[in-house]
Amino acid sequence: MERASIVQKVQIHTISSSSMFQAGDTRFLTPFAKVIAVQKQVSSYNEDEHPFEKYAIFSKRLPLPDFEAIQVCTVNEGKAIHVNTINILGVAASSAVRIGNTDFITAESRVKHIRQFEVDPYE
Amino acid sequence: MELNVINRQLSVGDIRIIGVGTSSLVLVGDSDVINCQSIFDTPPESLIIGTPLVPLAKGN
Repeated sequence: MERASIVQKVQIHTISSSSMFQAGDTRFLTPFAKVIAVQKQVSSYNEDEHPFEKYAIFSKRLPLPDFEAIQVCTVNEGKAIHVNTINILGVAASSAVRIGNTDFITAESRVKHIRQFEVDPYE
Repeated sequence: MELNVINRQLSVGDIRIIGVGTSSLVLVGDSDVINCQSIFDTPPESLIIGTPLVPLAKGN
């Protein structure tokens, strides 16, 4: 018998960039984030200056962890999970805040940082 | 191998979190399989000095 999740109060200030807050049960959850963060000295921005296709990090296959399927027997003597308050400032970049059961979660994030200077800052 | 889990009382007071980012999760509840993967890349060549070749404007 699956446990219930009981939360008295949830306060979230900001949920942005395809993130979510969900109460209830879910079978599959697959958050996926591709991020290119560019730090530039000159504030000029060209839309297709950094396409995802240009960088191998966004197409490289990530090795799946090999795990051994084991026999799990769960007994829920406690009927529910109790949480008093949840206070979150920000949820961003395809993240998820979930209250309730989730069967399968596959989360993936790919981040590339680029720093572009006019003058070498380290000289 | 067999894993026996007996869940008794689980009560948490207050949870305060500043940020949840890039495919991260905050779960209150049970899960069967959680598979998290992340790749991060900031190699030396990602430091660019001088103005890169600005692509020509698209034909308009």
